Amino acid sequence: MNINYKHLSFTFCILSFALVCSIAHATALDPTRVGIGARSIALGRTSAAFDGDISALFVNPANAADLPGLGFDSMYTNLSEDINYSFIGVARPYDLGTFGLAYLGAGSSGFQATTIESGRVVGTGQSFDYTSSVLNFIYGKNIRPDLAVGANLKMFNKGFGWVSNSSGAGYDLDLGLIWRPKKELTVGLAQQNTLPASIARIKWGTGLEEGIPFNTKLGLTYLPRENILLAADLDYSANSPLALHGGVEWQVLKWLAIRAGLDQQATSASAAITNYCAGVGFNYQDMHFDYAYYYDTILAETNSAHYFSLAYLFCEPAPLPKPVPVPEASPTPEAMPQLKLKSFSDVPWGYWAKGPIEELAGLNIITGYPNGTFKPDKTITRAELTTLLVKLKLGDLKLTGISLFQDVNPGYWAAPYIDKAVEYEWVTGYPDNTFQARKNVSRAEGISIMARFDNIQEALVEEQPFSDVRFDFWAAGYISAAEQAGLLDYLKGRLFEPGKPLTRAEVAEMLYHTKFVKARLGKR
Amino acid sequence: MLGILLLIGTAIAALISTHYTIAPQAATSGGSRSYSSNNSNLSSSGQASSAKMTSANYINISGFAGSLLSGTDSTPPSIGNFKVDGEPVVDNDYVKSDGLLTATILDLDSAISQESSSISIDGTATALSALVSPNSYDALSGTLTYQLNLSDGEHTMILSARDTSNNSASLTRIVKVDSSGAKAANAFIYPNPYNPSNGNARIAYQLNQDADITLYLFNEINQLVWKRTYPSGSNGGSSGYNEIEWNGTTDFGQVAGNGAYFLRIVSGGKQIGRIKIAILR
Repeated sequence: MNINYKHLSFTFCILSFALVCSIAHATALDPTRVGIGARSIALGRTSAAFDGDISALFVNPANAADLPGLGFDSMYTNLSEDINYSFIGVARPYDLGTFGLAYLGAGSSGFQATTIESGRVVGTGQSFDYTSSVLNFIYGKNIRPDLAVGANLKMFNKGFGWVSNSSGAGYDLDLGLIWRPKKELTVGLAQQNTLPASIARIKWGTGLEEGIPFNTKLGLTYLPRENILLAADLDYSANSPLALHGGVEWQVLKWLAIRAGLDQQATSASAAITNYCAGVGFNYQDMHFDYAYYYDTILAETNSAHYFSLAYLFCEPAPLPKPVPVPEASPTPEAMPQLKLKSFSDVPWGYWAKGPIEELAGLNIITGYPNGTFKPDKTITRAELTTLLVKLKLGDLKLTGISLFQDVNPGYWAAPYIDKAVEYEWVTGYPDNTFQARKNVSRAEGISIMARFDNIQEALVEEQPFSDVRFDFWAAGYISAAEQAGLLDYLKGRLFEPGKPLTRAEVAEMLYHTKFVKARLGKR
Repeated sequence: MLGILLLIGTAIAALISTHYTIAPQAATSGGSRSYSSNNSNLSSSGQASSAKMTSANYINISGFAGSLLSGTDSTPPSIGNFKVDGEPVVDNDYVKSDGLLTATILDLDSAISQESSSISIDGTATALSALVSPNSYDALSGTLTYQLNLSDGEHTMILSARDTSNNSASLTRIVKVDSSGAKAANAFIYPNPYNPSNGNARIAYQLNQDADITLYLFNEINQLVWKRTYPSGSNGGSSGYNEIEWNGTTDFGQVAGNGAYFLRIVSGGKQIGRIKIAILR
């Protein structure tokens, strides 16, 4: 593995320096430490290494670098019927990196003013409120395929209603780092409230100036299986023992995830307690609803809390390439396109489809996302695959104002491509005259479409191409022909799993072995 | 001769008034005063502003000489020293179901009309003259003694007094009885907002019974920053009024930063009271 240790060392040195600078002073509380996102809370308040998670980028800004598209996030909780927290955030990837803006507000009312009567403390009958808020400006960017950095400028505002000179305002900075040594492993490091108190502090109307305590988070996420995620964070703060957080997420179904976690919390300079967390996540298309229950072991009845998050993440299809004319004949070496590999932050060394992805991307046959990722394991919809293939051969098509299918709006971006693919008989609709454009393409559907796209004739199935593909399976002819044509080499010796959703990496691998692309690459 | 007597009487009255000038001590029940009177001479200051003040409630008898001079009594009786089991009681306090209520009902101008004065518990009034042992009213000292017999729940107690000159006053207290377990009432911190630079804060609460008490202080993200435990029967865990001090330092060894804090009064693992604390330096 080609790790640039100089880069890593430099970044860690910066963080360490900031840490040393910020140790000396600190008293004001950063309300973002309550945790952002019900998913993170359910996983034991882990979030340092949630690469591309819309909630986690407000804890470790480097998580923003891999955000796949425009995302909105929100959270609400009421802690012990004493204080309400509301959070709302938005982030979007651009060519320069991902930018985000977020607001966290907390409020509590019913603080009783008091006096002394007959030697006894009594209420005056007057009460006042408390508010605390943080405005976050976030930036994250991949500086290498396996390395991302980020920063989060935080503006604090606090105050008590009707109490004179009781407002305070200030700012501080979070720095973050994400390192992806393997596809299954992500390591995150976040230094929250990095700036020394001599620079960044909260200034109160009373004249008091308070530093904001730093907190260092070191975290990792690991995917032992496709649908299992393990997460762990280690927190270090001055005057506190190390606090460990951990959680596990099981993606039971595509739309359902179950989570559980443990959250250690310091209770003094030398002691900590462990609290329990659990939650569920529901996905519907681009919408995500997460719920977490936080069980407090000190005061379970009072301090246990519910967290609710609603997020919307526009997983925009990756920008499609402009068509490149297909060479009429095999190009001479001089006429061959200059092969320039294009790497992606989430396609690490050793990834099984790294070669095809980078070669096809280098020729602009496929593209990644603006934030430098390819999302190789992301599934692909019928509309996306159809549009990709039609564009490769025909280029951009304009909307025609008509659609062959009742569930495809004529104004839908993929409508002309779907109609053209149907016209070429690469793909068909369903008997009820629907196309189900947002439906994920299965392996069987994908290889059938790809075979028709590449003029591969349906084969007579004399022997099972894969042990799990029966002779009479509707796509057996295409699977067999595509297997003989080499499009399915990556599955040699394995099951075909015809119903499994096709991934973007598989599309690249299949495309790479088509006659069409081979011609473009100058290969036979 | 009459003039000399009046002069001596006035001098005595002035001397007395320097020692007993305290207005009716209003109910210290979170601000609600429940003392009422039909006489406008009654001071309503109710503040413990003099070193001579006691927890007793007395009428201002500065009008005493005038009354003597004019020969009329327009000053209502005073009702004070309202206690249960020897502890002053304010609205919403917990009392024991069989607690001993004591109070002082006095009138320095005229005598208290025991037939027209009464103690009322939840609307059932008993004239002072009708009290039977162990309940009593000592006309000389003005001391009312009354054995309570209350069920669990909220109760309204009204002391009504009328003097022989037909001036009247009354004092109302709303109290609670709860025998189902430890409960806390009237939980406050003084001052609020609290500035740790100015000395200790006083954390006060009233308990319905002796109980092991733990105080937990959480910051605004629900992180425990301070904890203290008080055994049953000790200050902090005794029946009645408890008051402990806090110097503003957390268990992390730091002075609490500006912001909101939430104190939870816990007994037997259950929160029985809470205080919202503002720290502002």
